[in-house]
Amino acid sequence: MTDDASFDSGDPAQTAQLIALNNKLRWACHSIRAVALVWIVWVLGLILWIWGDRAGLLGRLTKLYGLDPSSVTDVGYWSAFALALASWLASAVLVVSIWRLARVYLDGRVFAVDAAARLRAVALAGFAATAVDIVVRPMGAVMLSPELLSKVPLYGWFNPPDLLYLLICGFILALSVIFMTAAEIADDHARIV
Amino acid sequence: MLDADGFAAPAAPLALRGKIAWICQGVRFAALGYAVWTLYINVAYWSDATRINDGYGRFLHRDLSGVQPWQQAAAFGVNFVNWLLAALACYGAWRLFSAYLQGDVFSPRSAMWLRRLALFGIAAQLLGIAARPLLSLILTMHFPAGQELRIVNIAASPEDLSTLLLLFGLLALAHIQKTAAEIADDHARIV
Repeated sequence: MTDDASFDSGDPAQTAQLIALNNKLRWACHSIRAVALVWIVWVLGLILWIWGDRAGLLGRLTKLYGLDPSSVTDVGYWSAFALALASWLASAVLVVSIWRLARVYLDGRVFAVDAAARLRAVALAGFAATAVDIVVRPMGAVMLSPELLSKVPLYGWFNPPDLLYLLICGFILALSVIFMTAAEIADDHARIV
Repeated sequence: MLDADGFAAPAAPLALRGKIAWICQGVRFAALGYAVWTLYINVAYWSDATRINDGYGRFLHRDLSGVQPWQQAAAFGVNFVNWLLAALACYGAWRLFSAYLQGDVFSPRSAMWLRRLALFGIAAQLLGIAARPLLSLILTMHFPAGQELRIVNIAASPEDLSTLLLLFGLLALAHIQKTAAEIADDHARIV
């Protein structure tokens, strides 16, 4: 090894071919894709299950925050449900970006600029999904019943897991910027050599 | 020159270091700040009986105003073990971005620190879930036995699963990086 592992790895095309054929790597990529798919289907199932039981959901909100169930209109209820689905769509975009990243890895281009760009897309999709989720919660509550806005404590709108998701997305974004910079420098170096 | 892990520290290409230094330093100090901040939050919360009653009491549907100092200390102890694992994950982040700062980006060494970071994060998250019944038991132990006021609360939320999946994603990324770096190294040696 000389200066950096990315600068002396022989013929890049040949290396990518070797990486693409590696069983351990392929298994990891397919696992990521499968888990992401199961997660997004599970989240959709959870939304349908929670919102499909109107009496149960309103009963829980009554018990927790003293909501008056008679103040919830049909239009308000189904509008809040549509917002929950919009939040799910933002999560689905994240899953699509994870699939696209795994595709590049499966092609063996792990240390390439496009892999770093797709990792950055994953981080940005994660930020967007978390932000949409945070915004949708109070909006959905207002649609159900405006009184909820004053009854739900602050941590009901923005809670520790939100902060953790934002931190992890920030971490992945930092990784992608570093990978991209290193890959670009390696590309320039290879072109000069 | 060998570092603490016995790896040869490569001389970082100046161009790379110049471009990523700010981000590496930012993440390193963010990890340090996160560890200190979460320790402070834990100490502040578990030393304040009123806040415990307002938070955990409401969550468990119990009046915890009579919670004893030994219960506060025991609950803090459980959370401190969890914090230690999170702090180790932060240390992993520090070492990972230190490796990047040295120009060691696509290498088995940096992949190893990414993997350690993810593993400690997963361990902290799993312990956090497993400790919930223990915490509820500790905090209701001052109630007389047999009045159904002592409880063992088992709770897991969709957010727990999402966090675990994100951390497993990082673990898989580390695995991919490590495998690819080893193949690239082997190939370079043969060529």
